[in-house]
Amino acid sequence: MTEQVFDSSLALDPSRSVVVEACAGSGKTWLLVSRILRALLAGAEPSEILAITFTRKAALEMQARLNEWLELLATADDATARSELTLRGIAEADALLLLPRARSLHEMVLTARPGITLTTFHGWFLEVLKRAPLDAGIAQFELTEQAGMLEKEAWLHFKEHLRRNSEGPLANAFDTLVSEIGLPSTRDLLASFLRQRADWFAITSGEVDDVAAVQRRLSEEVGVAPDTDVPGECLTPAFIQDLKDYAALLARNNSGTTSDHARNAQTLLDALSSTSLETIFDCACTALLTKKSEARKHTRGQTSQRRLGADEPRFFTLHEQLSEALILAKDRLATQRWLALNEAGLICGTALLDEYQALKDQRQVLDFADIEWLTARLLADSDTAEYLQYKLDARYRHVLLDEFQDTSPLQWQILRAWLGASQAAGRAPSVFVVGDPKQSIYRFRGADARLFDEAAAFLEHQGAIRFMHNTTRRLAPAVLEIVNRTFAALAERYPRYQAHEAHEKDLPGHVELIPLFPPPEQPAGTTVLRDPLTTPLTDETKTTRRKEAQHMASRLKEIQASWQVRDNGVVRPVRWSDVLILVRTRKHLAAYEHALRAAGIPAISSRQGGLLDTLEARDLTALLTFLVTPSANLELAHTLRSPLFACSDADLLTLAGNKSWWTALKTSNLPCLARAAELLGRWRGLAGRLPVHDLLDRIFHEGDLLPRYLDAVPSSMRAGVAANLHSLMELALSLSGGRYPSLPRFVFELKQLRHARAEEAPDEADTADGQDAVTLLTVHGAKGLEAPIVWLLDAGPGKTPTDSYRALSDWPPGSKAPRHFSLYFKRELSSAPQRDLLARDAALMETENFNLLYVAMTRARQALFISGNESRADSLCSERDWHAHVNAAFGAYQPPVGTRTHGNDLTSTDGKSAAPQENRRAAGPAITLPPVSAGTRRDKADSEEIRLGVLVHELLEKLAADSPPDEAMLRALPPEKFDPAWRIAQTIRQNAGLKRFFEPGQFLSARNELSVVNSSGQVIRIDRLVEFEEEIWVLDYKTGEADARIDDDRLADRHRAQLDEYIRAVRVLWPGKPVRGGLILGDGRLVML
Amino acid sequence: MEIQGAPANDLFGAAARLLRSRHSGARAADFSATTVLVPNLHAAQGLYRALAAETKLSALIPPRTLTIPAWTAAAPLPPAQAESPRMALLYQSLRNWRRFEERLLWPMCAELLSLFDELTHHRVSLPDTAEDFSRQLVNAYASRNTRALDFESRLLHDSWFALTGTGSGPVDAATRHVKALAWLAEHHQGPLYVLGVMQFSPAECDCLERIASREPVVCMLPDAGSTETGRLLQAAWSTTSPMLERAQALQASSPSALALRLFPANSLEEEALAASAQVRLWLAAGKRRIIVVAQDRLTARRTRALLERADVLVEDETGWPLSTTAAASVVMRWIEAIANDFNHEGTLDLLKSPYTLNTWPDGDLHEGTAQLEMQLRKDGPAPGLTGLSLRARQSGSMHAQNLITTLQRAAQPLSAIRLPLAGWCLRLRESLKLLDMDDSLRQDEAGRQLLDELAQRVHELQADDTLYHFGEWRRWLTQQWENTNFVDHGVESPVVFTHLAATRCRPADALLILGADAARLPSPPAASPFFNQRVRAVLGLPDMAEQQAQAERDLLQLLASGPDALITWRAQQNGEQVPPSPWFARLETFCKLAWGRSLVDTGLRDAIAPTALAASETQRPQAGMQPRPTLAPHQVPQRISPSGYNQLVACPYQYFAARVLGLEELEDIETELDKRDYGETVHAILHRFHSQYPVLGDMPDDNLIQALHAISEAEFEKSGNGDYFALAWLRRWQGKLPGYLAWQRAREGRGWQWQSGEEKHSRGFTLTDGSILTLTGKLDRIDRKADEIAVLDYKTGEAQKLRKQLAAPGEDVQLPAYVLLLDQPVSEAAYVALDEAITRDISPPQDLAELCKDTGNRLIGLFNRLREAAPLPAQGAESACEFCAMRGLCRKDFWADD
Ligand code: SF4
Repeated sequence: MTEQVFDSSLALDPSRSVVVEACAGSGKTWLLVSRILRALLAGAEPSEILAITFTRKAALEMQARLNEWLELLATADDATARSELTLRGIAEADALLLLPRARSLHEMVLTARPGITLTTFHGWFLEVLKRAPLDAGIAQFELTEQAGMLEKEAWLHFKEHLRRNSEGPLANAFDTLVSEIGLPSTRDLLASFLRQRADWFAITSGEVDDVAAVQRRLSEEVGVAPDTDVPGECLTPAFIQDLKDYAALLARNNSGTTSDHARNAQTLLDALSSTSLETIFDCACTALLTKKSEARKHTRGQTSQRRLGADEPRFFTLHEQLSEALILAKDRLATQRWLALNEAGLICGTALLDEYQALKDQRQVLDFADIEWLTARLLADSDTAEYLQYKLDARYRHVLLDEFQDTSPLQWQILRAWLGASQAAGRAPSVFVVGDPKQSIYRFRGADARLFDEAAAFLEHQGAIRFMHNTTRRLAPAVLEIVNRTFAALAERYPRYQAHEAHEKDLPGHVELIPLFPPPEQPAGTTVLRDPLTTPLTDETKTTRRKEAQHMASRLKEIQASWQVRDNGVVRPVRWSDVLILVRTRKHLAAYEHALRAAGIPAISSRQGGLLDTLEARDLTALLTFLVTPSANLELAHTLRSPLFACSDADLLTLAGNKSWWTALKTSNLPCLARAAELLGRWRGLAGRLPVHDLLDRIFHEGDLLPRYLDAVPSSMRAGVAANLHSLMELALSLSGGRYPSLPRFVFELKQLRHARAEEAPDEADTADGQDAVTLLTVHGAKGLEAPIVWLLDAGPGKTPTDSYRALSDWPPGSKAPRHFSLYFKRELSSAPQRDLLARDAALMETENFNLLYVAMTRARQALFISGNESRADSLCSERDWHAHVNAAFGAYQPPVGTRTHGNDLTSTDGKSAAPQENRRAAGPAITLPPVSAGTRRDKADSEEIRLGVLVHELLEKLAADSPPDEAMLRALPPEKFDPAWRIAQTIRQNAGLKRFFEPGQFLSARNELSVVNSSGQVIRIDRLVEFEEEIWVLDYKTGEADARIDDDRLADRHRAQLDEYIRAVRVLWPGKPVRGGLILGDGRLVML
Repeated sequence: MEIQGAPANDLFGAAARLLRSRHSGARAADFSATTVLVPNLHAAQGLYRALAAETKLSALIPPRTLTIPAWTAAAPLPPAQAESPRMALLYQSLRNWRRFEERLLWPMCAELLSLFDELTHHRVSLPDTAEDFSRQLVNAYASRNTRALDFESRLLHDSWFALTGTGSGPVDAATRHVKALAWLAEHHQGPLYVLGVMQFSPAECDCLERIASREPVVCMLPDAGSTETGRLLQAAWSTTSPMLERAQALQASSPSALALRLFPANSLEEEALAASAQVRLWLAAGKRRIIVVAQDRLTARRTRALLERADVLVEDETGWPLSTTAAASVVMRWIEAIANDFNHEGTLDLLKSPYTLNTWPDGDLHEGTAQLEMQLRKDGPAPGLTGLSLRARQSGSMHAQNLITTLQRAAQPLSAIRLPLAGWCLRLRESLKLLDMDDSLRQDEAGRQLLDELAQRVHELQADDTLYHFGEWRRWLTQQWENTNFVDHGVESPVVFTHLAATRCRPADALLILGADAARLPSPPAASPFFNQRVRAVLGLPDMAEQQAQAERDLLQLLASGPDALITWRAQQNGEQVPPSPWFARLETFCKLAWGRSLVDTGLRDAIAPTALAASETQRPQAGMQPRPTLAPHQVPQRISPSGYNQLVACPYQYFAARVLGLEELEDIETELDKRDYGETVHAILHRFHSQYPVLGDMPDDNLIQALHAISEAEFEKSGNGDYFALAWLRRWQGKLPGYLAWQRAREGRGWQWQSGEEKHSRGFTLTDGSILTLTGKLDRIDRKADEIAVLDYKTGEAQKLRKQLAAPGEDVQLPAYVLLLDQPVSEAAYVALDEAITRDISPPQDLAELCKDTGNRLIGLFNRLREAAPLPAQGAESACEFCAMRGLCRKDFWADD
């Protein structure tokens, strides 16, 4: 490696390409955002900057940080602004010169269009794809974040496909697979194949028959062709001769005929006289090899000497040679079998993949993998890559890459292609890469930390400088010391680690290592049966964990009551929100949450995807299910027990035994049940008619849902429950992209989503709005976060993860495509290259395990607690025993007798404990909203008629023009609309009695649709006003009135008020002329007033 | 042309004064010779009111007040060609390229047409040859590579000429608009006024200028600088000098009360609550014109619901794509059902929709649907209408069968292969009529619009006889409805939800901007696959900068007129910090800088905290507690099965819910054979096998395996019910057969012989109060060896798990309960683990006789106590709770403490 000592003024120079390997807490974000600032100061347009980070959240945080700094620069006094600049490596003199530009940046960045591109890889790929050439076939798509649900659907289509084509290669392949490994493993295998599709696309790119091509490569790799006759190849005539000799010697080497050897020798001899090579081969294997395919043991000694005499050496040489050859052949046979199975797997996998892709095509959606792959494919074509350079509005001169260790090989390929194309277009940007391979923990998502060195080398080759930055601004020296010591002890297995230095030398710190909690004693063989009515059964495996959790809860309570932390230089009492609790996997999250809740400690846990699993969500789901399926008794009972109705078990007992609870409920007169019957009946009536969201809104409102829940749940859960209920409401608005889902559809989707993968199911709501609570996260989830106090749970030894039935891909960093792709079944059913690959994988896994520990420990600013459980599981894995690693850092290993601590005492010195913090429960609104009501719903009863009227008016107006258009031109509407109106208009126009109002020569002037404004500004619209020499006529069309049975007087009366108003207005406008009014009916009748 | 400024808060007053002063017509009250162009029709109202006030006349004829499109529409030129035939024409031309995926064709047509319209509006015409155009593009992109751009230019060029090629016949709407402008430029008569900020295309500008050479033309613009707020915003949003200087310049004139507040919300709900609270407060304060600019559709939707619930109806001008309405979804679902061969989920959904079959008697419809659903839940899905029809028949419900027949009949018209677009639409109408949907659609605003649209398309496309297949038509229809806006005009209200652009010239007492975050305000430009911003600018099309400047002017004008304004956005989304719109970010910084004052005001939070339940509420929910129901003697069950007993042991409350209340989980319409079905099938196979071969004796393994295979295939066929994956389960089972036979042989070797299987037994126990408790159950298998008896139970679970289950005495009572049922000495009781490579039997480690005795005694004891009202507490171990269906009843998750 060629790292230099970190120098921020060099690293921030926007004209240089730079790679920084920066340790945890060293301020990567600060560096990156400073670099953006420097680029802007140096004259870059916002649109010339592309910064890519790993999550949307991180991108938004960077954006916020940049805005904050720019705002400060724009508004601070000169001295402050200048010092902000010098802090970022600008010389004093330059700072003065740059000040005016610095001050203008805030507004410039806010208003620039396009602005800075600060995004994730996927966000950026989407930008690029939107500009893809049309014939790439990807226009008009939406991104789906629910690939998992589509995968499930594809699986059903795959099945349907098989059902329809139950003969043929696919069906055979499928049969082979399920016969060999069973349906569940087949499903796991194919699901894994689907997930690795980007690698599959990459390795088969350009192939016509992709399965055949990959099979061919694999067959070459393992050196066995699928159709080789392995026994035949092995059993050459010479070999057979040797076998014969051997069999004879073997027989001689045994006394009698009862021993296995003797029997095997005889069988082999018999077989050798037969013709089937296969039989010979099998018998030879039995004779020479054990069941585990190892050479059988024969002892060389006096006995063998005696039995074989001079042939003894020959016997042993033969045994050795022949065994070796047979072992080899057997291995080749096994490989051949694997190859065949691999082919079957790939055939099924690609068929499933086709279904999946077709499904997305049909829905016009792309998933993340598609986006990556399509971008890669587009950029791989150099013409297109260049085209895209022009096509984007932004033209990047500065590319900044954050968290580079999380990049995947394909992403790196894309970046390289992009950089290459920029060069071709004459715009090679400066590149800034920052990351920490030690914090690479996303292998399962395809990240490959080795790319960091690969990219660094690539950029160094183009003149970039590379730095190592190992000063942390986060960790207190005492905490850092334990971190340093822990990893120093692991130096051999974890060479990347170099000792870190603490920036804040005087920050007090504290580390506490709690002894592992031992598993409970095995219960003595009791014989008395438990009384289930009085004594609950305790899950033994859970008790250990509970002890750990209880210990943590009580310790945290002490800390919250008596400790203090330093926050931005100010020492203050500890708050709950200062505590971050980390777990290795989400498996036991619920148990720990439960313990915190029981202890009354408010906790926020990002239970990714957990929304629909919460009781409140299940309550509403049950209610909605009942509304669409009234026969669902359990759902109804569930709803009745929920806080919405809060019925008791005794209430429910009154309904027991009924076939339809709903029918029974409707006749109940218990108050609680009657309320439920009334409300549920009402909602059932609305269920089909109202959109789901409006229905839910009614339920919330009419059921007093929120206050009732707040009454019913423990105080530490209130904020979370309320937020979750609102999230559900939001889900009703946003599900299927705001499409109108019917209620059954909505319920169906809820069910699907609940069982979707964690990252696709809706998350529990954030209650981050000021609630003081501890945070409970997985280590993966805590990436990028820090807290004054960190508690790492479950740090004891873990089980070695088993893996089987998955797609294996070997994509060396920096190469264009994987060099190996195959299906892994299990150890006994694998090939040598796979075993090599897995061994290499295991090494990477080990590193990642240490990375994970590193990330966990370095979240802590001032205090770090580590606890865990002993385990009785069989296959324990020593490197996963974090507790032991940290224990070693405390000095020579001793059996841990008690909690081991290191560092300072953080107890409050002034004896004041933190004020107990009440979880605020709003007592109700402080401002009461006055009752108001506004708006009216128009009567839409006869709107069809009104429409017809409007049309007739329009036609009459057009027909009354000086040169009326012909019918064909007027026919812009379908006959069923046009014809009736046309008929009426014609009737009126052709009515002899009305001619004088319409024939131009017969009057002085006429106006259609005349607007008249009255004194209050309101408009009257007069259908037709005709001015004659001696009088003026105000005509109103009443085309709907064509009932001959109603006489003129009644009609006139009906409309007199309206006409009078018109007439009054016209009198004002044409003073002195008599004004007359008339109604023209649909049948051409004129009613005079 | 004359340009005049007007006070931002009195544009119409100023206009009325000007009109009156310039008006010298023959009749003072007749302004009809004058034309006034306004940005929207709401402005006309404002002008009329101002004019009436200014002239004080009791009646007057107002100027012709209209929008530019209405103005050109009234020009006496032939009407424009409808859009749909034009699109069909383009579709055919693109189809001929044979280069694009079919699903892209309609969207491409839409993109191209809107681009062409834009070009027409901006009078950009393409060069005569594709090569020239390509060259033009290469320059515009500042690209070095022509090849890359060839395709784009050729596509545009060819399509353009494909559409305009003939040159005769009716022109499209955009062209007609431009032609009408040219006509008006020549023929318009009378004075012309233009009111308010408007966006003119070059053709419109030209037209006005040419008229101005003959007639008086006045352009009247509101002057934002005429109000305090306007001046502040101008200063805040100016770019002429650094913000610091601008702020200092304005420092002295601190506004006393700025009627503009920012509200960053923590969630969608909070934003909507705050917005609705604000609107209600405004209404209560007497504000009559409240404009809500809805930048965020979801929040707007939520806010609207909250307002409606508070008895405030909202006039929503923003509308929704027709496709998102209930009416369109149900029609689409019908089309989808036909396309997807009547998948059960979609079909049930359709049948439950209030739109379908609404002339059927409610009871019949419900009964039919419910029966069909029940049958599907019972027997699983069956493909296609034939499958559904089978289920309907199996359900025995006449109504269910009639339902399916109706669907069958209604699907008929749409079973064609290829038809013209209009033909498909007619068939759809027919089909909807058969489904009885016509009337129900007409009952509803959106439904009516949908039917009208359909009829309109049929009319427009009658001359087009190109054939399309079902999928093409379906995509076309989806796109049509996607692009048609549906606005409910049924409400009249002082509260109006609208777009920013529709606020031009619109007087407001109060203004709320919802969703004013950086991503939504300014609205991002519509993504188009053609060109980029630079090229648009070069070609003379409005680019992003121009659109944004227009939005800024709109916002400035709107706020400058001085309404009470609240700006809200969701500052937190999914735990992410969301910045506000740059306009308000700058304004906030500016105010802080100038006067140290923040515009952020979250006082509304005090109005929206959840109301507590009235203390008097009688049925208040209790804080969560562990339930412990008790039973009256008559409620205690008199029968129990071994699995019921197990449930009682695992968790008494679960037993209560399942066995006393009798609640059961709704069965899924499962599409796949699952583990449970597998278990049942395996039971049936072994029972059949042993009934035929009670003793294996010296029957060769091959024959037995063959027999087992045959039985297995038959049974799996039966239980698989057409499920292809049943094959996989069968294979799995077939793999176990040798292991099973080996085990059975070994058993026979030890002298055990199969005696009977699937035997029902029951046994009564007398309780203390004299009542009888009956234990009932079915035994998988009984073996006999001389006079010894063994009770065996087949299991498909893992052997290790089974062993664990049996480790603690009394926790798994199934085997001892079976023994109790037999009521005779049993020397062996075991689970038979079938799913292992070699079948194994696993017995409880305890002394069997004693275990059985204890198990029986405990059962009697438990029931004695239940009859004495012993509570049934909810106290399952975590492993029991994990998959417990009764969790919603015991409400464990909400208990306060352990
Ligand atoms: S969830 Fe647990 S406690 Fe509740 S009923 Fe089920 S098993 Fe019993």
